[in-house]
Amino acid sequence: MIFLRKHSTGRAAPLTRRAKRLAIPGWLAPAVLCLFMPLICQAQKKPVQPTFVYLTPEQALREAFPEAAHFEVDTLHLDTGQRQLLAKKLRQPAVDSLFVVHLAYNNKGRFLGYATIMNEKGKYEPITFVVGVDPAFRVKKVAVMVYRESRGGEVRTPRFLYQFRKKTPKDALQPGRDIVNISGATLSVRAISRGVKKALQVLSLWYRSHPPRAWKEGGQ
Amino acid sequence: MKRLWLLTLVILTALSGNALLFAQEESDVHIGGYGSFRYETNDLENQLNTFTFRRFVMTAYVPITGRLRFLSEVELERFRLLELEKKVEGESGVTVEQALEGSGGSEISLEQAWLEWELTRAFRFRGGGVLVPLGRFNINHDDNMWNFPRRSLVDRGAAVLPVKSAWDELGMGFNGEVALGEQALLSYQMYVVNGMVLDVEVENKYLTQIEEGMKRVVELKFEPFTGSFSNDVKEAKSFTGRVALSPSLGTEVGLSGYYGRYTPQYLPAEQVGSVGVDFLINRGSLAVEGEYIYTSMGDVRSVASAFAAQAHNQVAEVLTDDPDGPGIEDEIEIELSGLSDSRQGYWIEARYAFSPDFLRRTVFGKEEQPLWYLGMRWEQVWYNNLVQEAAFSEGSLSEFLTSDRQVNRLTLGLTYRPTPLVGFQLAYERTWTDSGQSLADVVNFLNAEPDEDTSQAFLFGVVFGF
Repeated sequence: MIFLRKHSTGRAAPLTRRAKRLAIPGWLAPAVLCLFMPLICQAQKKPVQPTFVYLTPEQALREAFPEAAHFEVDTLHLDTGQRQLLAKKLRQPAVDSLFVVHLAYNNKGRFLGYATIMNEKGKYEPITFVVGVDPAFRVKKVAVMVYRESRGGEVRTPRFLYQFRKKTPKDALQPGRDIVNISGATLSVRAISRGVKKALQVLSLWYRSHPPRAWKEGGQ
Repeated sequence: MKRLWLLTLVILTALSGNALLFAQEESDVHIGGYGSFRYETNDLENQLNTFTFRRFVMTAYVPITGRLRFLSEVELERFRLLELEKKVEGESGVTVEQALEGSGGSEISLEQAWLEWELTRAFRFRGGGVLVPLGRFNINHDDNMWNFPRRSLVDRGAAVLPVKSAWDELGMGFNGEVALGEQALLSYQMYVVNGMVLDVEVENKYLTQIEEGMKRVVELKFEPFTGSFSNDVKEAKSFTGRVALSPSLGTEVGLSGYYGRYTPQYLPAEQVGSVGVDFLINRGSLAVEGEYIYTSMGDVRSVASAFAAQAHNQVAEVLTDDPDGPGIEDEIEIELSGLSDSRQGYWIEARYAFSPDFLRRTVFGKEEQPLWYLGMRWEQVWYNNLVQEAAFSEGSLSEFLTSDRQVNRLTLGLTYRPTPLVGFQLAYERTWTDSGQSLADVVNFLNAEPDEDTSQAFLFGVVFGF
């Protein structure tokens, strides 16, 4: 058995007048701490995750169509009906009305295909990539231009992107079905699949009714 | 009053500053997680129908710099409550009260906590609590990645892995990957770790008995556990590694192993060795995946003998007689569990993904890319000299019974995934062992009677990740 004795009443001794004048008010310490908290946090703040730029837009277009001699920019303005149709096909609530497409031509003016730069949200950040499509609306090349996520970077490897080759607007482009998923990069895989599908649908919807003509020096 | 206003102003200013900073830091620390819960109905007599919140795991991933990163996983398994109450009173002496309150079956564990330094893509240092790369399940154990509500027998239910999954160990080593051409990839993980050990689990039981009075039992259950995250209890480290070749994305074959001492320093050295072979094949909507593990624990009889010599007596009982009422009986019992000379097993799983058109206009077709999976998993585990009874007294074994046992399981399932990270799973499973023998001897998730050798269950599970 242990016995303890009380030695103190637990009350503080009364302060003298001088001591009262010098004493720091009780509320000041937490107030100062709160005031400086942002600075403390700022000091502990880690550097922002770097953004990896793998290809500039010019390099990306060359990657998609290395044999191209000229690129022509075509801006598509989708009307409400087209947007609704696309949204239904893509199972998305809404689709942008504006798409920028680069039409690729060789040095003889023969049309080689379409290239479009897509931005699709991964887990937190958008992934920027180029989708190259041949005149028959089959995927020719997909290449990641900017990757901003800290995990899931495997989606930029050729062994992942290779599986999009020759996909058409009829393909599901669905991870788990015709696209192999990568564990730990599920949302990045989904973002790229979604973007490629969107590019194929937009291009086929527009250019089946507005086929590009051969390129001529000084304009079409 | 003036001071109060000033204080409020200062606090609000500080809080708004902090909120802004935390918002800016959102992209630095990535909080994620996964979990699962399920409903199970079973035909075993004592296995009651139940909902189970199987696990909830919070993950934190921090890319400290481009080459330095940290990841941790904290698991709450069947967890709801853990509460400690302590009170000390000083009225005529000192009274100390302590109460520990918790929900049944609850567990909190650190599943992973490692720091990685990427020297090159082929050479990354990793240290801390790392997942043991034996087989393919343990390193890909997130619930939301799988289509069946229960983990495989080999990895969890009748663990051929020396320690049931998720199995992590404290240590360090290297991992990396090397591209072989445009399509193929060779990857590896190799670690030196403290390693699994024969450790003790203390169980307190309080029984009321109609004729004999109250009984208080302390069971000391010695079985293989994850090694120490503090000071190791043995003067030996373990080695583990896995090498995997992936000829193309979605196809992989892996070879893995684990070797090290598992007896604590106060027992003679005995080694555990495991080898594993695993594979994954993806062909369009069809995926087939499997794993084979073989584990040897050496001569478990000599381990039991040495243990008996060290522990001396297995059971000690004291009966306190109360002349006015029933007595109180105290009992301490020691048990060796989860040991066998060797064990081996495999699982093979096939799944087919589909998205039926007729469901697209229903609620099941609302999400962007919903998928259904039909799956089948076939599993078998064999035990060689599984310890059934190890009785000892006066420092020597008086009884040592082992048997060769087998357990099989077939699972059929249908999973709906409205989005890849969330799944609703329906499964039927049939588990059976040697005729006339109890399933409870060979699996750790069924409460079977001594003559119940077969179990059938329906499970509905929900898995999620974020």
